[in-house]
Amino acid sequence: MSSVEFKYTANEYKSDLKPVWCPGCGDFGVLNSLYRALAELKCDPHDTVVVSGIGCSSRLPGYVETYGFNSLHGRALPIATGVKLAAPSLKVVAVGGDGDGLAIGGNHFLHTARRNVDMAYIMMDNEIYGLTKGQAAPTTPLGDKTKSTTYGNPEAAIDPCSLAISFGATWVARGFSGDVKGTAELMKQAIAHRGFSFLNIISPCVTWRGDDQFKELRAKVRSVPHDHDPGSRESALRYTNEEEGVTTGVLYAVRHPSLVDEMAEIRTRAQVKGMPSRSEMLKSFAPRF
Amino acid sequence: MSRELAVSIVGAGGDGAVAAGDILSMACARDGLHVIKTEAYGPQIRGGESSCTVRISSERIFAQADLVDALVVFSWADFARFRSEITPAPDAVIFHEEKDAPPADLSGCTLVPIPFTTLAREAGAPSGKNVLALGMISAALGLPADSVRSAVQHRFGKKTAAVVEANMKAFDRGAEIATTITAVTKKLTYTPGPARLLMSGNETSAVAAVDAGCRFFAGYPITPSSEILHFLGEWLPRIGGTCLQTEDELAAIGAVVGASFTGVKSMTATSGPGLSLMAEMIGLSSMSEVPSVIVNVQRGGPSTGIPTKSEQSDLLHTVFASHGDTPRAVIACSDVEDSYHATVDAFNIAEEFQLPVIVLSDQSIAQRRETLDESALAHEVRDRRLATPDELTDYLRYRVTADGVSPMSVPGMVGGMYQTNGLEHDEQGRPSSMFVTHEAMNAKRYRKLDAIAKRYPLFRRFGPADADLGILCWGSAAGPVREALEKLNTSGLRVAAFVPQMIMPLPKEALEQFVAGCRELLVVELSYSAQFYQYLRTQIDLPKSTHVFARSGGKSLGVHEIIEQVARALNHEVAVREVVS
Repeated sequence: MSSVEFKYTANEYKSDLKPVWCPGCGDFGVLNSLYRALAELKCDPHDTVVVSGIGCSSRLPGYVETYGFNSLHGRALPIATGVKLAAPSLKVVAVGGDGDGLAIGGNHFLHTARRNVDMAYIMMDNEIYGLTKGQAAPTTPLGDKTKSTTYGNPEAAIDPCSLAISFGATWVARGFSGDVKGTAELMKQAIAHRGFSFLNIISPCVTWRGDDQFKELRAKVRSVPHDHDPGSRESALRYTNEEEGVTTGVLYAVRHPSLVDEMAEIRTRAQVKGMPSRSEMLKSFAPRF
Repeated sequence: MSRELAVSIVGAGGDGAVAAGDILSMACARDGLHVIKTEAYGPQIRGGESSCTVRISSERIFAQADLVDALVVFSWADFARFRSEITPAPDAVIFHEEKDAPPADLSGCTLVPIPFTTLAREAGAPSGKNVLALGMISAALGLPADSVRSAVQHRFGKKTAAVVEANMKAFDRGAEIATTITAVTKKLTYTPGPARLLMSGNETSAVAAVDAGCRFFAGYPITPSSEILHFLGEWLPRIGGTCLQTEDELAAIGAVVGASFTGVKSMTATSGPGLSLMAEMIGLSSMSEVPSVIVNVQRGGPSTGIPTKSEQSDLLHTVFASHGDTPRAVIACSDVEDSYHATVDAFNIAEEFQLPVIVLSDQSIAQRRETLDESALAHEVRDRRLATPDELTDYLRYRVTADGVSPMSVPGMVGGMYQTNGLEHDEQGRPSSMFVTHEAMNAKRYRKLDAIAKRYPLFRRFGPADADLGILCWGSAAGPVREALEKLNTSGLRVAAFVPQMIMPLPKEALEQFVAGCRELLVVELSYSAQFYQYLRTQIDLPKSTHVFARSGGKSLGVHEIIEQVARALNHEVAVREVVS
């Protein structure tokens, strides 16, 4: 493929690999939203890297015709951080599931958000471990019976968006995979945001969470009110840990220098006297008296 | 008169023992002497007892001080804490604080009581007894006194004129006292030469990374490797690179693999516990064929173990770390200069063969300072073979090739798009769980080790051919073994040594030749469970009569200790060890 012929249509971002997901999986919607978002943003496939960890949703990079890295369980964010810092001109999209990002990779979520690393992090949230066949995740509601919680889940669920906001993410939104167009719009903003953007997409697992997931969610989903101020942390947190309903849209958006900016600034300061020669580097090891 | 001398300075926190050792070492480096300087501390974060040992020689040396010829002891209580690490020579001279009564077990040594505290106070530098001691030993032991004096002046140069003056007065007072000391029989003789650099193994590794073209470093602080993070944190931004301190070692190696995926040469550094956390990512680096360089500076283990002291007990972990069949290369360094070459080689191998390479160092060489010539810090640099435009048409990232190396594209290259994968994959990079693919890809990945073994059969061999006894050792054991051999060979014993620098893949042909040429073998290592011996047995046939001298780390290997073990082995007194499994 050469960039001259490339027309930036959603279809061109499809790889020839067929997804392994179950029929009806929410992740199909997310994938379609991503094709659209990349096309509408005119992202050059060779300048885009999609990084994932392990899980059903982490298979996604293989289905996108860009550079891709399907890495280790929980480690998408450190890898994506390395990619972005080493080659800041690349568009970096990290993707994965709620177990991957909140359980085994939870620590990286905290620190990647805190550092405000320039990337979009898309979490496909199905409230369950799908690939390992139905165990409780940190997002599984209290009391739910799963393969690993025979007597009901003894642990309370956490809301990824409230975490992202408190961790220092500078852009936080929630989407629903049943709404391909709306989610694509959110993805476009997430990718365009300069800093760490977090997009939690409710992406139902019809295999382990029941056939009615989509129907139930459609009834619960509502858009964030027009008068919501995404610059206000207090206001944003009102749409997390909701008792009823699921609010979608941009919950939080602020601007802070990203880690890429900070690193560039450090380089400028370190090179105030120009780039040092090699012998300057060895000077501190030589007797200087 | 002697061509070499070892001096230890021991004191409490604030006595400035380590500062004195620093000054002395730098002064000797200025006069072109060879120096190996080691430090030891008590467990306190700051303050507390400390000691510094400087071995000085007019000829190249390879081991840290074994027996100490001269000591400055500001406090016997503090000396007692380092008793197992600092061994005075039978004829050592010990300058000690006058008001502190010496222990009984040093009766053979010459004890010279000096009122350090009082004299320093009189000179107007109450906290300058270390400087006073420097003045005294420089004159008394034939050390390069003018350079030591200049080094003291330089050290205090940024303080007020009064402080500098007081310290110089203390130094001169010390030199004056020396004229009254007649007990010293062993003095250093040397001819001054051009100045040398004074560096630690961590520092030469860090400089090597820069020279090799590394422009991305990610690391998590851990003793005894943190100096690499410190140095690259300062220098990478200056030359356009990036240094990231991560939240843990999982993230450190993750960021390195991510950065390397984009074509930027990348490295991390850690110690045993950190390597454990990196084990899974070593598997990914190997499987996805994304180059990575890891410097592992061993310390006493397992668990937190003895973080400030050396051991060779990460060998098996480093060679086998990760899961599955995971080709990687492991290069050991045996001294400070070697750490430079091993690190550049690690980059060369990682980049050319697209796999993880671990530089295996240990605390003793990573943190001690040695003199070296700037000209020694040079090594050929090789780069990654990127896919050519031709290879990018119908591009196969994991194309099966004769040497296992496939053309690599990096983001930004049009037509090079592929998904790299921890899942087993076909030539295109598409996930596959087929046996035939797995077998073919394992074979492809392992062929790289064959190619590395051919191109980099790195080893050192010392001593005569047809030896009566051959020593097998690796890493930091090489220095003391080499010096022991010189003495043994001089005394007419036919003892040789083989030190593989390439640990994985081993230079098997040369090793087997060496083994075949020795009448008997002795394995020497700082690992209680004899990991090197165990590893060798998985790689080559060793005679049943192989002697094994394997002990815990926590104390460096001594030249005399090796000579003693060689004598015992020749008398068949070293156990032929049944390995603990």
